[in-house]
Amino acid sequence: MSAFVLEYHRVSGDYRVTEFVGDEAHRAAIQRRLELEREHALGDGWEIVSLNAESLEVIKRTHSRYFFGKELVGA
Amino acid sequence: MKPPWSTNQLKRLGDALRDDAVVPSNLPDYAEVIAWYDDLAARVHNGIVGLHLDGIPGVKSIEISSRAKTIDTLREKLRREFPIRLPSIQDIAGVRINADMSLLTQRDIASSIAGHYGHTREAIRDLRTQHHSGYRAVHVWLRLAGGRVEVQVRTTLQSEWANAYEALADLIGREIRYNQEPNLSGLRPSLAKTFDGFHKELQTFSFGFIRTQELVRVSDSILDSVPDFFERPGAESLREEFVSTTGDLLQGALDIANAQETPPAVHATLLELRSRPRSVEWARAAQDPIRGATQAWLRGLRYDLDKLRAESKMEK
Repeated sequence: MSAFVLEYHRVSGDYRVTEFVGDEAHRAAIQRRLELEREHALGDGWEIVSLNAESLEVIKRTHSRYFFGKELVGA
Repeated sequence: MKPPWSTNQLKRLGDALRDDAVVPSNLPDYAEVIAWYDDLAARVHNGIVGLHLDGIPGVKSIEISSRAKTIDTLREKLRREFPIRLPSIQDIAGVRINADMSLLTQRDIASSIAGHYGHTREAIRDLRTQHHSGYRAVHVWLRLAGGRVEVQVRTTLQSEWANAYEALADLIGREIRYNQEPNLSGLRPSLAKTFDGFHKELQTFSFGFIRTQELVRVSDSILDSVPDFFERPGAESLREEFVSTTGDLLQGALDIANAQETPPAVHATLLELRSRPRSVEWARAAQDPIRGATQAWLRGLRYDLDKLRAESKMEK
């Protein structure tokens, strides 16, 4: 199972995806989510979520709401 | 496996999160708790994968994901549902299952999951019949030694609708998910009216067009296992209703296909079906194209939302 950290801006719809692979993928992803939560100010519109699934394609269907906007590439 | 903290400690951690207060040092760390629930969600996710639900007749394209609740939505829930305490929140760990399936199969999947975890039907929350702001799904509320987990079982259409509605909620206020009116203040009246219309249209679409389509699909799925179902005594009116309701749905699908870009093959099939004589076979053949048009419409909403998003940004 892979894991994905999504940074999603609720108003602009912009999003960024980081993929984690391997047996401990979901653990690495949740740690990254927690780091990003600490970096973001409360109420700045960014939602940080860590999602576990077989592939990003699955996430794009079960959680398609996060993918309505523009993908941000890079840091 | 039980968590390394007490229920009372979790309650107090939740209170601190709700109040934006400093977490006392004798309480578990928020990060540890969220990582615990994420692990719990992943374990249940893997357990459900092991059930091989795709082997159930009538299940197509099953997709499973899991997550721990985000800090924003956790805090929002602690405040909105006050005096709820953190250990009583059902969906801190969540698993979501989407599948192309009938309403009967959806119920069977929920029952299989509840049974696998030693739960009775009491654990199943059927959200398909009453109006939850248009949201329809079947949830399974698991109470495990490690904590609570919510498993959401959704048909493809229910899932696409829910995601479109959530995307709209991000723009006009998440309170619309709880039967409240959107916050449209600050927008020019014509734009506010467009958003409001969009909101109402989506709700009606869920409990009208999508629900009817899924109810008709139940008859279609019964015919898979009992091909002579409509030939049985007393089934005549059901047969007529199956065909005539499919006719209404076909017209609805054509209306939305005309109003919005639909894959040409789906559109052509709908037009061809309209010209054919009506029968049970005809109605069965119409189900997939009607669903295809509905999915195309829901997916197409993202472009409408993007346009509305751009317009509302220009105003702010």
